[in-house]
Amino acid sequence: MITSMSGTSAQFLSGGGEMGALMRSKNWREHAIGTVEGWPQSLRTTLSILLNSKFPMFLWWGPELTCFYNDAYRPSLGSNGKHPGILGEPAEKAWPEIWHIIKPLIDQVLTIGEATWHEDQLIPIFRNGKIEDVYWTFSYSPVNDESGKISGVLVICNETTEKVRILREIKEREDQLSFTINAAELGTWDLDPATSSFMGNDRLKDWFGLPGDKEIALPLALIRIVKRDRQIVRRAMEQALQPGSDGNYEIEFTISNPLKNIERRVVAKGKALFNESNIAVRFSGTLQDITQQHTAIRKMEDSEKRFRDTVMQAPLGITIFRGPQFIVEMANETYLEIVDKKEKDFIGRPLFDSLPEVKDTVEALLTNVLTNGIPFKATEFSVTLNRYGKQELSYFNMVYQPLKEENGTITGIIVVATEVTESVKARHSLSESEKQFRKMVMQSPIPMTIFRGEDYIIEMANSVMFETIWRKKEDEILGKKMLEVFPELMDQKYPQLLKEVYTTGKSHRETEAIAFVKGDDGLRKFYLDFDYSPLYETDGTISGIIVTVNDVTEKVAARETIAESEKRFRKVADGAPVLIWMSGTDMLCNFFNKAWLNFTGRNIEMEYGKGWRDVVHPEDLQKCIGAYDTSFVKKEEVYLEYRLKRYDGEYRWISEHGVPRFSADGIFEGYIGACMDIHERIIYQKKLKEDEERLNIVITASELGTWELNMKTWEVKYSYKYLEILGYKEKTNLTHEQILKHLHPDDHQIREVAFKEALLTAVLHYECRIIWNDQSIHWIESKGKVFYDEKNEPSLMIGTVADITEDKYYQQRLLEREQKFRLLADSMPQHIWTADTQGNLNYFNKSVFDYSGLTPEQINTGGWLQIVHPDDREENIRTWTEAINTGQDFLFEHRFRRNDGTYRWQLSRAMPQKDHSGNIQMWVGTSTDIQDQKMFTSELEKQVLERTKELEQKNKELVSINAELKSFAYVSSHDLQEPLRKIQTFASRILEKENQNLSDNGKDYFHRMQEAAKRMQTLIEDLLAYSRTNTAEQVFITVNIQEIVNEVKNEFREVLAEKNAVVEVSAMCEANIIPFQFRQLVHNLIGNSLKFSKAEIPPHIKIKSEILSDADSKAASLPPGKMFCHISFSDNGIGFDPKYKERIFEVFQRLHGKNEYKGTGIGLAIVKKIVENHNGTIVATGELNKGVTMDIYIPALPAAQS
Amino acid sequence: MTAAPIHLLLADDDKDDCMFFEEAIEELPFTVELTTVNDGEQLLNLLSRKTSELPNVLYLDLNMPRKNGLECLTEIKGNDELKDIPVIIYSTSYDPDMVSQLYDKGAQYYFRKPAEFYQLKKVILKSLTLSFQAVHSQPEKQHFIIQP
Repeated sequence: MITSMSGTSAQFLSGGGEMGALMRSKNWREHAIGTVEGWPQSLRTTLSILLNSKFPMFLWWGPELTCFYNDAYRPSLGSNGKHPGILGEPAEKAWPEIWHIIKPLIDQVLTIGEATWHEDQLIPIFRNGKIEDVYWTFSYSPVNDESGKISGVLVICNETTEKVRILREIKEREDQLSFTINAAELGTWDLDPATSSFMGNDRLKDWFGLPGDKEIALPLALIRIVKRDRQIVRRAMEQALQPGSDGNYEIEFTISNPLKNIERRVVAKGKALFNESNIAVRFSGTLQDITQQHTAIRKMEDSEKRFRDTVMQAPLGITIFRGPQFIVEMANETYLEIVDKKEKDFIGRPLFDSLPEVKDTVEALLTNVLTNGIPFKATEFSVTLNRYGKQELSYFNMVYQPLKEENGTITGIIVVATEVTESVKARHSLSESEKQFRKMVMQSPIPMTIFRGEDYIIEMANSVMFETIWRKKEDEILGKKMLEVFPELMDQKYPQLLKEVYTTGKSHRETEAIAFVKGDDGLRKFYLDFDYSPLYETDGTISGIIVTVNDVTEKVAARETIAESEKRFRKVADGAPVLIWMSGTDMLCNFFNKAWLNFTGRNIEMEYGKGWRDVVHPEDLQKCIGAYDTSFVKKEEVYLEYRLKRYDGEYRWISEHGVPRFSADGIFEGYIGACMDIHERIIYQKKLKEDEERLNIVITASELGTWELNMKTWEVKYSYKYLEILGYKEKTNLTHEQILKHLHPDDHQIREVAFKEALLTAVLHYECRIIWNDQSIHWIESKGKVFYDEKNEPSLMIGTVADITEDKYYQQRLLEREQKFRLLADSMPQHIWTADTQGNLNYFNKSVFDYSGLTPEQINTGGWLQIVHPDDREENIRTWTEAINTGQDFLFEHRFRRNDGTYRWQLSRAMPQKDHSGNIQMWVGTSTDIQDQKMFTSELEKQVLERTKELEQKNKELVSINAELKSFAYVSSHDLQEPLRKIQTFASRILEKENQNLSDNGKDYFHRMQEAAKRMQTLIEDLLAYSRTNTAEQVFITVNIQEIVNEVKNEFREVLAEKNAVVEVSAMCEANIIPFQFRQLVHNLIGNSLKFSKAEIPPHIKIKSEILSDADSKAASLPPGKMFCHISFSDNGIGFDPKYKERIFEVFQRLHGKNEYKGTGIGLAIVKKIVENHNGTIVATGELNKGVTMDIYIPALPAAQS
Repeated sequence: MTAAPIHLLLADDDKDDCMFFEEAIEELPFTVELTTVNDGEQLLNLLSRKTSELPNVLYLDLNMPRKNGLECLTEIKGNDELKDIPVIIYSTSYDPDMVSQLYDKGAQYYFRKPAEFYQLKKVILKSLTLSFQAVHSQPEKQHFIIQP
């Protein structure tokens, strides 16, 4: 009843938490605003909203600006501050410290009536016992009273101190992150999965040899990964980015930088971040150089094995069928359990041999997947299985996925099945129990009855029905026709409705229908919500109607009274700067305030009902609807964060607080929701979370221990890794002092100096030794950064610690080796020097200083080039630069100035020292004094020059001698022959003309004179021929020897005829010869054979030629490895004594007297000479009176050589 | 047969050889008019004197002062008006290179001055006969040298 509602004076203060209670209990008489009863309706409504809101709200009301605020606002006042003192106090008294700030704002609202809006405003307030810096986002809006006058200011505010703090923290985190990344020498990357482009730090780009661009396309980086790793990296990334994955990414691979030709083994760690719709939005992480470790440990991961392990142990039934026979390739344990088969009976056999009972159900489906490649998915797929000794209808959620080869052909099917038989069966039995449930409902507090048959016999009704609606006794009604018991219904609409339900089978439902029912206490008017539903027999015929009634009479009455205050509420809500909406019990929204509409930029018609769904981010919509679906049933408050599209199209994060509304008499009326724009906070929180995650990745990857030192309390926090570095194997709590005890006593100084410097520069960096509890000594490197508080005093130091014992050990070893090298180098007499990869000389041994007389400082400042002779410098630099650029050895001769000012020649040689992968590390050079060798060499050169000159002179002489020889030949051929010839001619003239005047004796003398002259002429001609074989031009031509033999035969034809001689020539070969010389040779040999023939026997000359076999060459003692042409001349003449077989080839050697055989003794000498000119040999064999054989061997033609 | 006398020109600086040549042609069975010059310059002066008739055959010695036989041959064969004169080289010496060179320059025949007079007569007759048979053409190289 309406009266009862207004009767409770502080009904509007009901609920409202602590502040509601405070307001109710407050003694308002003492305040200017007076007692609650006197408060205007507008104040009450506003306070009702205020108290029920979960947003911080504050209200100044009336001329004194009396303060009200709700629970949500309360924390902003802190503890030990204004709360609860300022409730009901005038504003000026409550807020003296900021009155100068807020007074103008309040005035503005009161006078102009416009709401104000401030974001992240710093308003320090007194709380927690002190003035604190608090940031606020707030709005002041006017509240009108009944007369439309502005009589209050509603403050809706949100403390954003946290947001501002987060922003600062982000900044710090970023500093810390980049500091840690640098300290850990990590590469970092940040991939945008949408564009496949990424950003990386300089170190990463350097490793990959990538350009310095801001954004880099992913494929550019992928090709730097060595081919064998590329696929696994790609796969790992895809896996991390897979929706539903945990987003983790960790993989080892090798990258190759083609610019520097460096291979690097790295481990990449990262994490993909997903949005609400499970799409990867960000993928970032780090890269750590593990080249060193990797060379020691090479992990081989057998992905095939991993896959199998995973599959075999999966709690899903998994099996693979191959081919059209569906041969079972594998089946995991779960699957085998499902089908109740042993692995050995199942694997390797056609599926339907093992499970014939499923053939009808699944064969068509499997075949379809195999042929079309379209996966088949089914939920609660029913199949009958014979298992565990019985036939059972089973249900499965399953997927048939085609297995494709790389070329796309489908060769099999992978089946993943989850058995859901139990749950399906359970659900079936549930529908059974629904009937039972109906009975239970009959006992429910809601009025219900069942009419049976066409006459609506009242079969049963629950007690509520009897008591509240019918107000009759059971026995008056049960078993009776309904219209007989309630005749007054005859004139109302209900009999008609019942008939319709009975005949059509369609339920009928109505709300707030007016019904007049006459009970024992008379006729009463009801507002009823009712439901008529048909009742079916198992055969489907309708046998009755179940009637459910709800008496809403009071509700309707109350609603009508509430309508007024609802209206007012809406007006206030409209004025509020918070986005507010309301919905009815039907879950449809029926109100949106102006702030909402301004925000979305839409009109109220567009938002009504479900229209608002258009502006909620599609990814968030389901969440919102789901939340309210649940809440409407439970009638609980709802907190939601979702994105709402602003008028400018931007989706902004909104925090919504939905509260169920109840009418004064407690009836649920729907929801009211209030929303705030919290976009920035959400965005910043996300970023902070990401940064933290990245930091974690970095720290884990880097093997760094991290620590934080509070510089005021010397409290210390550290990571587990930090403890490990200190030598602890388990978590231990250490104080700063305990930690310091690990410091090596000798290194305290180092740390102190580093800390002092850190206080000045904010950067801490030192290396020192620590002593573990087992007394072993370790080196650590500590880096840190100092953070300052508002007063610029150091408040916090954050840093990292790395174990560098190994590095130090190697450094130490390196240092020792270097010292050894220097000692060795210094004791060597040669100059030794080293240079860096740029060619800068950075070390000279003692010998250099001793030789040059320069001090190290002088060489440092003046450069090493000052030692080099000025004339050698330019070429020296050129050669050195070339060696540095090409990496080729440096070799150079130049003069160095000695300490006495003289220059001595040096041979300098430098070779690049390379690491195992062939990169030049440094150059080591030596310079050796070669002055003496150099002098010796130049002396030698001089002598060679002189000898050459002499030789040239000799050659010239030789040429002139040859020329003289030629002219001598000419003289002998012409001038000597001429007088000889004349002697002969005159002698012949005398013999002819004076024949009769000469005595026989005189004639004989003339004949003898002629003979002598003739002999001399022959001698001269033979000598000439012999000398010509030396000097004449030697042009080799390939000729068949047969031709030459024939020519010579022709020359001798008269003699041959005269002597009755036979020349037998067998097949001749071709040879490379000097034709006119060879003709001479043949001429001389045939001539000899004819000359030295036996008087009584006609000469018989045999000439043969052949290409010699190796064996024959060997027999003739010829040089091996060459083919020879053998020409032999044999005759049947007088022969010779074998002891002369050498002598016969000498000039002027004759074996016979002049009178026996004519000749000059030159013929065979010429023959030998000619053979030698042909690079051949000649051998004469013979015996007295048994003929002679001349064997000539000359090189065969090149064609015959092979 | 009223044959016009054959006009021979002999170039040789050696008086003995000139005498032998004259005596030899006197004993030939036909009338021969012989002009003798004693060096290369005289020879070419004579030949370039347009008034005189060109000889039927020129016998040219190689070894002559001032202008030797080879030079004379080269000039004659290089002169359009003289190049048709058949030139027979005769010389004391025998140098195969030189002989080859002479053939190439266009000499018609070559023979060595024989030691015996009867041989000289024989070779002059043979050469004249061959030259008249062949007229202005060169024989094949293998027949270039005439043996007595």
